[in-house]
Amino acid sequence: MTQPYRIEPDLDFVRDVIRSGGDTLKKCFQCATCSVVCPLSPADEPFPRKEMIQAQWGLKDKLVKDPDIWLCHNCNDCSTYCPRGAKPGDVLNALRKKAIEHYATPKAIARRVGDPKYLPQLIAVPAILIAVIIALTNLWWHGDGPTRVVHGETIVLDQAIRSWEMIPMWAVDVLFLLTALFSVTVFAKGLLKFWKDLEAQRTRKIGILPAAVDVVKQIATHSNFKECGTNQERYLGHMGVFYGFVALFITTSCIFAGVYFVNLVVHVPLTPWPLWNPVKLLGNLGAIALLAGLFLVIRNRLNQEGDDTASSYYDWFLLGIVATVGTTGLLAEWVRWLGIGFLYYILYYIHLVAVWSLFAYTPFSKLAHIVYRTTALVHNRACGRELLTKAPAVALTETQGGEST
Amino acid sequence: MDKKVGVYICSGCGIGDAIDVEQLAKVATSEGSVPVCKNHPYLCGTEGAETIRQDIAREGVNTVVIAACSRRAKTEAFSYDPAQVVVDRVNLREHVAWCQPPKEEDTQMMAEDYLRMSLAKAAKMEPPEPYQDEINKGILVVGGGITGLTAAMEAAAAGYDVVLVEKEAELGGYLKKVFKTLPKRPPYLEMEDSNIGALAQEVEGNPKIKVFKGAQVESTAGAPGMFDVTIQSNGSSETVRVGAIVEAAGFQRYDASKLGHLGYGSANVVTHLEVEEMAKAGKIVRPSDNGPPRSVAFIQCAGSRDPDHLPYCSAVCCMTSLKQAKYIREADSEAKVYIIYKDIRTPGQNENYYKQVQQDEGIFLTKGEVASVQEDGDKGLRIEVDNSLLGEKIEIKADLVVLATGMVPATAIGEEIEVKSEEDDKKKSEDEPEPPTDRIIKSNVLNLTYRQGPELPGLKYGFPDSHYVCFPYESRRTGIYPAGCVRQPMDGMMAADDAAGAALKAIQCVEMASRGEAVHPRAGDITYPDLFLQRCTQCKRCTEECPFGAYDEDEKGTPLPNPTRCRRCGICMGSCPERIISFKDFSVDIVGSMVKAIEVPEEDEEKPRVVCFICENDAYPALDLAGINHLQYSPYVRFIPLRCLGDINLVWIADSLSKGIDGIFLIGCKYGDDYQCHFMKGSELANYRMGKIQETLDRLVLESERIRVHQLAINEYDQIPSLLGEFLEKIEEVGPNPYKGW
Repeated sequence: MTQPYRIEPDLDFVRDVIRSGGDTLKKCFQCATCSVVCPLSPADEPFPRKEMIQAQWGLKDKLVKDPDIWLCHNCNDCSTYCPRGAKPGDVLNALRKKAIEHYATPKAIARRVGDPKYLPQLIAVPAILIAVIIALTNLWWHGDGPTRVVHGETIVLDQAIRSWEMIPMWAVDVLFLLTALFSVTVFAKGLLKFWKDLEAQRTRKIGILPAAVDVVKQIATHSNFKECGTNQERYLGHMGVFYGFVALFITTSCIFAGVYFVNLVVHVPLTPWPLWNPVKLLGNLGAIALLAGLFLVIRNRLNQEGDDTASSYYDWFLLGIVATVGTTGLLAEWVRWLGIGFLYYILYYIHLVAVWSLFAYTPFSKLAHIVYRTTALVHNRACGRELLTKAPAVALTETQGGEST
Repeated sequence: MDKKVGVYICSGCGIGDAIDVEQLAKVATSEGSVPVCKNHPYLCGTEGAETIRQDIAREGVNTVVIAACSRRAKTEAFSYDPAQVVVDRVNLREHVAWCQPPKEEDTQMMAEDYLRMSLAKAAKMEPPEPYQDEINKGILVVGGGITGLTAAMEAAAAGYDVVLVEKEAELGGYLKKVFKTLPKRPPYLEMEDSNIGALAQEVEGNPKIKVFKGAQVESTAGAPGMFDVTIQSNGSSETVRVGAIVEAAGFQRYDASKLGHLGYGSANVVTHLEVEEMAKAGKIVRPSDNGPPRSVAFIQCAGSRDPDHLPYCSAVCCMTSLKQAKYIREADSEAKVYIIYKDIRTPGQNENYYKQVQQDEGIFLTKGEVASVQEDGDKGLRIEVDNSLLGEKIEIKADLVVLATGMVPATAIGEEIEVKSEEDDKKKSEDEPEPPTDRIIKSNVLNLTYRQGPELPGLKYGFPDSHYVCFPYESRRTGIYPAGCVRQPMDGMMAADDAAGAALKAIQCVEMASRGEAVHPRAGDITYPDLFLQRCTQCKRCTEECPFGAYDEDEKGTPLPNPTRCRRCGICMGSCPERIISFKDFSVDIVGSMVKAIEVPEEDEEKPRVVCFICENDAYPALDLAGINHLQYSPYVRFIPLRCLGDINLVWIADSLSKGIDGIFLIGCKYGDDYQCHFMKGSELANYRMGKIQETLDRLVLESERIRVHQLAINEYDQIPSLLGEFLEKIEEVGPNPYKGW
């Protein structure tokens, strides 16, 4: 006989979930309407019914490693149909926050990212850090007189506005490379732990690679988002943000590679590159996609607010950073064209602070879903759990066929 | 009474299209020599109804036969002073015109037979005189809990004298012991202070209410309007006379000592009541060391909804656990409370409270089956739960386990006795079917001096209600109305409502008794059974079979009727082999005459005749429904409505068969645990009596297939054509009655 599961409810965990946007958690009375209406729930051990009671009972150890909270794409059908006014969509959202907090180290940062109290601290870190770097590099560098050496090239200063006049490019790059390295390390640690937990829960039936290929296809087409048929706007919005980021990532990588590596072989002109440059063009298109997507996502959130879902601080934190990154980036560019140097430097400074925040806080913020959701999807795919909607759909057609004959 | 019969035939509503009304009138005028016979195309209209009234007033017509629609329709248009005029209704519309092909010979014969039967009946009906006696209108309330107190206040407020008997030294009952009550006011979210103390004070201070505390009903004799209740209190006895009784004896918690499998017996396993008492005393503790419980597990349905213990739901235990969970959480915000339930059941508005309690972060609810409760050294108790909503077998640790034990009505506690007569044992040896008996539990609540036993007969779990859906507050003893938790498990608020309902029933009873009228279900009926005792053989069938215990007996076994206990069902009339029990307008003779009035065609006409005795409460309206729906059935059937199928007297069967009737069909109500019989046992008794007639038939060399008993629910009217059709096929198979034409 199997050993019974020893229940040790964690009251603080319950309180945390409630505080993190899962305030309707306790309303659930386990009718399982949510699991039935969910278009993404697997046929075996469907969610979110079981997550609701586990969260009510404060079973933290079960929930943080539960891959199913990552299968949810937050369409909120469950919340719409809940007869009791509980919002499983919001609860899962809060649980994902708790899971990110659980896997991300150091805990001190994780805790601060999720708590509005610490927002000034979180902003102050990059603001001061970058300000200090600007101050130091200016002190040390501006002694050069009317010329600058950038990447071995001596530039005569003129009226043109150049980002590196405020902060040297190498300083930015060193800072961001180090930050990225930190993030990757945090992610790697969390991911290893998460994967181990996943492996302990279910046995894979197919290899990781084919599963990963499927998931990448899924993500590229946003097919899971499309399953949530009730919410086309979110699908488009997320798609915009996603591909905006992809485009910006490619742009940044190209410039980085160009400046540091290609430049060693062939001369690559200094930035800013002209707008007609395909890389630059891609970057601008990416920024527009990002902002357009963001607009849709935010509008959608505001429209749904209080209805089927309530957005938490954790949601707005990420949206705020992304919005700042996108708008300051684009505005800085426009202001540079307009030749307003003063405004450009302010915007660029804010942009740097925002981008740093995005880099540094990603493993602790909602953006960490890039890693955990992808991992959970791959593992789930590898375990061969089928969508609930697909399984009964077959049965339903059979019955209908049977009736007609 | 010198009879002057008036026959009024209506040809409206399609009757005139289906029946030759002129021809029908000849049955009255030529055959019946009726002095007044009139046709009208719209008899229930002002002009038609006025014609009848005029004839009564001017022509001296005192016996009115109305051949029109169902007796259930147009009752106001055709109502007259019952002391002056007897009325009988011939149902030409629903039972003939609407269910038979128009202008057919058989249809006409059917209509004519019904008129003949009615004329035979009308000839023998007498205007009833109400039974009058000196009626006391006081009301006895047994029990001083929320139900009893409320009933007493309600009755007193309506102007009736009340006597209240409470067995405890103080009034207040269960609610006096509780810390807080469930929510009583919208929006039903917060527990409240019980105001039972104030209510008790009000009762004690009310000049119309006489309170006996620490008292016991020693005996209850008499009948509605004249109950003599002996109350023993503080060593002395006093007899008071009251008119009706509200039985609000309450409940006891199910005996937890039978719940060893749920850990009862361990120091830290308690019941709701102990938690209430601890809370009321100021602090809920672990009994083992008086320490505060950091985790508490409530086990719902402890012995409830369990065939080995209490098979039913007690309706309040879920709410009580939710309430007590709040006691614990309010005392300690870090305490964990688990509630393991079968289903959370929160009747009425209480769902709101459930939702409210659910919001508490420290209350953990799950459906589940408790597999075991074990002591875990010093660490408290371990509870294993199977099939929980958490998807696996779980184990919970708790300092304190609370068993949500159910309610047992006060009337279910005591020795069970079966009401039998000495003859029963003899009957058994002769292998005859046994009459249905009642189970009565000697619960020492009312101590009735009734021939049929000292307490109210109950439903299957010992609740004394007679039929909780159709006739709430009605018991099987007229004038005694159970209310509150003795009737059905309920919370305090519902009990207070119940008390008001039962108090009104009691008031209704004394008022109707004072006018000589029957109470439910023949409310207002002023007839009552008249016994021609010179011919009584002391067979005791009437005293045994009356479902309401209306008859007592003297030493010899002669029935002593109590007309105010009587519900006028006529079951005694059916039971009497000497046919000495009659009503003024309904008797063995009257029904026998109706049977004899049926014209039975010669054998060679190949028109069989079936007499169908039907219950007027369910079968008759079912037949009306069949008519309304224009369902056609056999034209060879003649229906005779009875007050209850239990009225069936064996002599009518003999009358029918000797008349040449080919078959006899009895349609009564469903009986058994989910009975629908208005008189509880009538249909069952009819079935039992027919079991006995089979032998008589065999003796007469008549086929037993000629008689059939069927139970029909009112909504099964659509089955009537096939039911009758099948029976007639059977009769044709058996062949014509050989006694035809004798």
